[in-house]
Amino acid sequence: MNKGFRFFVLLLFTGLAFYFLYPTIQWYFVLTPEQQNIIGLPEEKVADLSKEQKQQFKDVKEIRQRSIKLGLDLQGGVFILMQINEDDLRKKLLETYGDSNVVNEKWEDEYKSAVQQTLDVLKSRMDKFGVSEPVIQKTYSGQISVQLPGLDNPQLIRDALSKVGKLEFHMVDEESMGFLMKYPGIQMSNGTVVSKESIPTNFFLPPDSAWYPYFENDLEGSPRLVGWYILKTTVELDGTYVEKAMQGSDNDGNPSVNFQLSPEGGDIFYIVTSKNTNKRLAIVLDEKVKSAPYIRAVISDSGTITSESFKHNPNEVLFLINVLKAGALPVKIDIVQENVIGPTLGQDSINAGIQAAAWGALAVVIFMILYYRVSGFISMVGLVFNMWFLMGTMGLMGNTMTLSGIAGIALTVGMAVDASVIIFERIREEMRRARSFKHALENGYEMAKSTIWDSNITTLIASAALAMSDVEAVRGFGLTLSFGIIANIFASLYVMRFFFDWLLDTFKLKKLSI
Amino acid sequence: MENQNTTPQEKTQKVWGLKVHKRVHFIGMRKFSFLFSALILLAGIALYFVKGGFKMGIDFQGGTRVEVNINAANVNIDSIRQLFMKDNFDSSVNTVGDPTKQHYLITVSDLTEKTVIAPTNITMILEQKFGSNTIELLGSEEIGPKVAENTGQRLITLLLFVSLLILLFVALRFNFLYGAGAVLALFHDIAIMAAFALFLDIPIDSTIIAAFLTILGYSINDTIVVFDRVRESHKLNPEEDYEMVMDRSITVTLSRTLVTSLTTLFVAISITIWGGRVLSNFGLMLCIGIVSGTYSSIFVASPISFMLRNAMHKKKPSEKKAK
Repeated sequence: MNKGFRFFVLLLFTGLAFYFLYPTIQWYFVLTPEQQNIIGLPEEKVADLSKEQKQQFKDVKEIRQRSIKLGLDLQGGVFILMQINEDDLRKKLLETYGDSNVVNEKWEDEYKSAVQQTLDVLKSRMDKFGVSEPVIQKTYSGQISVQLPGLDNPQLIRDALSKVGKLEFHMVDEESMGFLMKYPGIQMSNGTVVSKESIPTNFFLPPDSAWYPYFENDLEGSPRLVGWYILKTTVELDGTYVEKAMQGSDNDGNPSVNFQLSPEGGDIFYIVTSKNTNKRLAIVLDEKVKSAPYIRAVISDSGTITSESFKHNPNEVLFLINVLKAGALPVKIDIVQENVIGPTLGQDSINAGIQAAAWGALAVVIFMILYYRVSGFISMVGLVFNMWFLMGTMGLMGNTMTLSGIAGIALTVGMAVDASVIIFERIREEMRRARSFKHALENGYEMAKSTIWDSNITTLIASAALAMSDVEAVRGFGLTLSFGIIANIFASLYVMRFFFDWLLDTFKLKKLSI
Repeated sequence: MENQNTTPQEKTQKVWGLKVHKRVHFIGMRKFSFLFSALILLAGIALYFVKGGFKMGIDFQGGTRVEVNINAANVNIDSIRQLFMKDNFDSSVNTVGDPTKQHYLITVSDLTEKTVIAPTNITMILEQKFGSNTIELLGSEEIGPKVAENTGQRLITLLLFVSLLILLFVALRFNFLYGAGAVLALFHDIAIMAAFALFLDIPIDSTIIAAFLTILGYSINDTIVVFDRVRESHKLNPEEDYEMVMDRSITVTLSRTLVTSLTTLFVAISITIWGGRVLSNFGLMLCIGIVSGTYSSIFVASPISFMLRNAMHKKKPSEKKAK
């Protein structure tokens, strides 16, 4: 391979790594804390920002998404692992189906949907945690894990799990909405105003009306702001009157949501619906519009909600049922694991990790340069590239850096030096019989190659298996070590070889100390 | 020697012929080395029964760990230990960092009840003893027995799964005999690490299992360096006595084996010293594993492959010749 081309490849990879690391560098070294905090704003607040601020919000969010994040163990926070209470679910299912055989048959599906619903409820309450980057996800084994960075009180989650949301029914301000709908240049979607920005300046909100954000779940089940309603501020009815909400089917056999109100609720609802037929009634949970069906008939104590979207998406039905139950969780949830990492502990861990990695690396550098001289120095240059590629890959994959990840990096240093030693010892051995250093270098590399591949691949097998574990600490270690090993093969067989050849050719050297 | 104008192929052969008489009888020493390993492992088994099994981390048996600063005079670690000495409690109290800083790590598992003690209960017990507002809760971890059970099972499955993969890979790249030797050497290393964990009272938790897994992947490297060389010289000179080939391969790769282990040991030692409360046990286990791995790649893996080969080929063992 021609040297210019090899240099080009090296430059290309280095540049690529820089490209993937750039957001991380920006986030940790360029942005001020105030600039970072902007991404914590809830979506409905962002809509009120100025154009430049909005752009900034988007930019910072993008940077954050592409940067390497610190794990809870390093930045402090709360980690909670929870699980559906199986006994409670079984009891509830028995009430519904009345036959334990049927329950057993449907168990798996019901369990999955219970997990999904819990996840939905938690996600829709995410903003209540007051944390800028909550992570709520399902684990492989069907548990739900919640990570709240920067928080030190798990009580918030316990509350979110136990308390029900505030459910209210408001009439849609059809007059105002109708006005906006006819107004040119205003984008409407599904009867909502997509963006408040396009509202003409001569439009005045009636004093008894207000803007309410409308949220829909995206594909991942996280609520996303999709539009705005103008609702009357008067609460026509609140959630306490709702007695039951369940799945039913309409006359055409399509799924629907049936609900039942208490007798007093029925009386109020009768008046509301008879006054407002063919207007929309918004179902508002925690100040967010979840649905706004048209009132098609006068309803007293029991009604049915139908929607086109129910046909395609059964989750919508479950979602709305949950909303009508005021966001109550479908079953009891047990918290099975809870970690609280105070901010000082996080900082301690960062220091510990950096110290361990730095002292380890320093010892290795000194040893290698003393033992192998110039070649040892080349090996250290290879190590620097190795680390750079490793971090670049972490940036590309959007990984989280944890303490065990730092241990993985430390072991990568060990592996990288191993590779150098295997190559150098082989070159030393070849020097006893080769006619020139170049020859020995050539042969040494050729002979060491298979050893390097074999030993790195066996370690990769182990580390890749670790990376697939769902124990957080083990996974972080496995991931960084896996990336480190891949970077290592490239750095030792390609980068270091390049520097050997480059030094020999550029300075017309016969030999390098090894 | 440097100006022989031969092709690499011939040259290597020649050199094998005339140059390298250096040979240490590693394979011949197997009786002693096996005895040595067996003694350590037996000591481990004895410890297992004396101590009544491994000390388990809360990852594996469930429990609560709190990390606190106690801002009160005359606190000593024994007085804290006494607080949590109850029949059905498995508890441990350790200082973190500088002992004068009164920074403690307290771990409590309730062995009888299937419930978990809340961190606030532990701080309450401490406050009763040392006065209110003296306890600063820095962090806590609470693991239910159910998760603990799953975690343990999953990690042990992972351990076996990884061993199997390594066996397959080595069998594929070399042959099954090498694979068996390598994997037995790995089990040897894990067993030695476990014995030391018993001896040093290190609780087995997920980071310790991670250390086992790391050594599983790492310590095989030295073995592979040796096997690579055995394969190489065996190919060049298939007629040569196998024990001689193995001995010489181990001998020529010896400096490699030692230097690679030494450099990785540097890193493991610095993890042990500076890794803080989470990583220091992990680092310590790595150190033990690296040393054991180096030893086993010289004294366990090759001799086992050699013996297996002899058994398979029904050859007369060449012990006598080795002398």
